Amino acid sequence: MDLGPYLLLASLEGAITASILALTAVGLSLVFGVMRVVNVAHGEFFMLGAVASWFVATYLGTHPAIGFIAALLIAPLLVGALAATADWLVLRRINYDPERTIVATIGLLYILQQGTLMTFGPDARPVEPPFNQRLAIPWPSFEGGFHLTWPWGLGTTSYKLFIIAAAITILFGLWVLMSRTKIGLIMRATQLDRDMAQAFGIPVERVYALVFGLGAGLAALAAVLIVPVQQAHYLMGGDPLLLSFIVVIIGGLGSLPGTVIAAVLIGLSDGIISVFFSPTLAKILATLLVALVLVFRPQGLLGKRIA
Amino acid sequence: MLDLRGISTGYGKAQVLFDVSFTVNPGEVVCLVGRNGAGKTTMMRAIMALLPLWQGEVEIGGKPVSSLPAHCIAAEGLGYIPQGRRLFTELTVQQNLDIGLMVSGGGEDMLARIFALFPRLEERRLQRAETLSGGEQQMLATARALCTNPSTLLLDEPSEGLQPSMIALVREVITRMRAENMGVLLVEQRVDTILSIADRVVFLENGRIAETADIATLRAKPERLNGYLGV
Repeated sequence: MDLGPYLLLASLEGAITASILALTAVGLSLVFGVMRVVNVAHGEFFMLGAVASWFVATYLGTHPAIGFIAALLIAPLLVGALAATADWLVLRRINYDPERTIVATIGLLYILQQGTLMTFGPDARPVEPPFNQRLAIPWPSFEGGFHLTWPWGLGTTSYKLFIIAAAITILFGLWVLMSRTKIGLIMRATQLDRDMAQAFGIPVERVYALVFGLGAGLAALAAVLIVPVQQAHYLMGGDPLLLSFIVVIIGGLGSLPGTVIAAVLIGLSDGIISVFFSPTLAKILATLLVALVLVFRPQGLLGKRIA
Repeated sequence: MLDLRGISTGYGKAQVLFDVSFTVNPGEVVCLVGRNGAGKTTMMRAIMALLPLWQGEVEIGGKPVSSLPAHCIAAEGLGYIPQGRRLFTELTVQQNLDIGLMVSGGGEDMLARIFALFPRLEERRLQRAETLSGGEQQMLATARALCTNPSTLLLDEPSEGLQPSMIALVREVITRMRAENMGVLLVEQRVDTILSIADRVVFLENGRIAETADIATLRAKPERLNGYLGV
């Protein structure tokens, strides 16, 4: 296969990484933006989404599509409710103090991870995709006039394309929620000035619980989408957490559009570099990019410089 | 009516207000006057429950509200215009007003009243608050507070940094609110504003009430104000 088809294949894999990363990182960014909480346990909410998806699909035991749709609805709600409860029981009690919330969410990370190990076990478990047709991708050729060829190995699956479409739809839905609804207005007002939000009747602590639940729910949703490709495992939260932090820092802390742009950049470069070189090099370059951003543009791509 | 009884509060271990008591009656403009650091803004924050009370009680219309969380205070009838305006800068004029309207449940009728008072805001309806001029931002801060349909309005240095025409507008709005039987608690440093619109002046010194004077007395002896103003 020539370079062109390889590049297309790598970009497709990168687009899938970008889609999952965008959903996960937007959740992290939302929590930081509104609550000023650095949620170190965010990757564990991703992991819980994958595990919950396995439980729902396994115990429902019907057609994979029914199990998948049920998981798509139940897992984010369950994980979101768990996160909101954690906010109520832990973060609220320490008054959302930035330093103490970092320690608290590290504790939460271990509780969730070890709790999952005790109940779900140490094995990686697959979830069957709802559909998975193999799709060959045509490639234009100009030798002897224009015609389409079907290079061997240049293809994807319908489910992988579905992941990309689903992520775009969910992100569009989130944009509508934030910019066109009353609850979005309340969240943005709380983000801009907590005291003034309270002075104007906004129950900030309830908004925080909602935002923490929504952030975790988005991570869980991303995990439900990827688990038919990746398998559920109790240690799977580490990579999404690291990449989400990278994306959020590059995009600009608390900036949702910046986060999406950075997720696309990091996801695509991760896919392409992983295919042509190695996944480790992709992570090294992403981390290097963070270092450069912190030195030359500390506020990130679309973040605001703090005076 | 806003009734403050024996208010004491502060930050951390530092006490700022000591046993402060006074009342703002409906249709009355009470000016809170004091040097920088006297505790005027702390007083406003304590009334709005943004700072917990160490001692004392705040009553609105005879109802004790000190035990209520901060987000419930606006619904009890207090409108707050903080120092520096503190608008939701990335939101539009309309969205800032919508936040105020959520408290009162007011709709287009109330919005029409607000726009009649501040026609320029209607022209800037879709503009982000951070792009408005200083005077327009003050209009928006006032309009946002009025959208909550308050019985008492708290204004913390509303004329700070404004040009004379805007200061005149602020005075006009306060006078109009008083005519509509709204109580007004005003933190102000400008002698001419105090003398032209206040009904009563409460002098705050080092977190304590030094004296209270009605405006007729002060108009006769305006130099009394000078001792309590400035840095």
